[in-house]
Amino acid sequence: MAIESDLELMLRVRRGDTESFEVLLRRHRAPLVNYFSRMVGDPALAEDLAQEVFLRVYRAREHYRPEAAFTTWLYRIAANLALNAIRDRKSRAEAAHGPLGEDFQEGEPAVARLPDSRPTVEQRLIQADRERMIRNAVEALPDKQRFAVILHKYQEVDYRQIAKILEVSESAVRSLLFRAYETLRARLEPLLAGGRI
Amino acid sequence: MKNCFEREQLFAYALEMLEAQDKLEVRRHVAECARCRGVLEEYRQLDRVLDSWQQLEPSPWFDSRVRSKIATVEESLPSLWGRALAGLGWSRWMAPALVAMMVVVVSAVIVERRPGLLPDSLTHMTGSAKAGSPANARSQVSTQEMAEERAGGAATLDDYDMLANFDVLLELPRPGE
Repeated sequence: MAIESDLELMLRVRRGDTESFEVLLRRHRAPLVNYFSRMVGDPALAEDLAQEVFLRVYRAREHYRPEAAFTTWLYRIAANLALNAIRDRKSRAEAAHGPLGEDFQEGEPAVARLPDSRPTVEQRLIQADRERMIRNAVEALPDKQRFAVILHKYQEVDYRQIAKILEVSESAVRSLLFRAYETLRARLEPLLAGGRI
Repeated sequence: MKNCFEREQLFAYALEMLEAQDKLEVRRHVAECARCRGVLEEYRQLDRVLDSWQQLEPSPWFDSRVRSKIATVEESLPSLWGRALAGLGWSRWMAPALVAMMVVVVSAVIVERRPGLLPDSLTHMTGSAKAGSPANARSQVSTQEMAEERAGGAATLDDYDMLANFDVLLELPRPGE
């Protein structure tokens, strides 16, 4: 049986086919939860935001126009929600602790669940430490650079699509990614040197 | 080596963001340039490090929560009629006003067709008995009701009783007589 495209499924959802919506839900829930988890650093909030994306997709089904790729539309909704969540979190933190500098780091978000290959306690600690470093380095990037890296690296979204999602030119996306990778290369130097990998 | 590429160009090559022609030129150069190969290796190494940020699995109740949220929102949506009105851009007070207007129109039509539903004085006010006096109106109503009575029916009988009572009222002496 041929795999139906997101666009075909969404057009069916627009006509009231709830089963097609279930297929889209199963297909995109994990990538969206991971996207938000990396953007906001809080797995519980990430789930809430991913659910909100699906709710908005469902509510907007009658107005869906297949002018762009479905994932472009999906991640544009997700990007707006993520940006609002990040701003809310910063506002709350500033209200509680005063203005935050660039080096501001949130409290340690919960560590992502490890695969069920039963690593030793030491391996888990090393892995958690490495993830913490990567997460901190990515979270410290400016918003647009962070969006670009997460979409490109972890969501495997094509840079042309990223340009549409972020509403910037394709060359701007390339530039954003380059600057982000240069910064990450410097911040993750201990991992690149091989000492902790 | 001469004519080395900028780091940004090598980065774009590593992430496969170059057009076919540019890609070919970088590939040819990198095959002969150890320095540029070293830069590419740095980006690939960074890419591998970033890979170690592991995936998070959605919770088992993710789907059911989405369904539940959708059901809640769907229930809170207005009825089809309400949505149609909203779609027309009508403000809230327009719908009740429309209903009230329809009630008035329907009532007027009913009264027009069955004048006996109103007392003579009101019938006169509506103008249904334009040329006639209250007595004329009463005689018209009585004729109609009598015809219906002949056809039989308790409802008609009730109406007849009511009209008979009005007759009694009309026979009362007028003030000043």
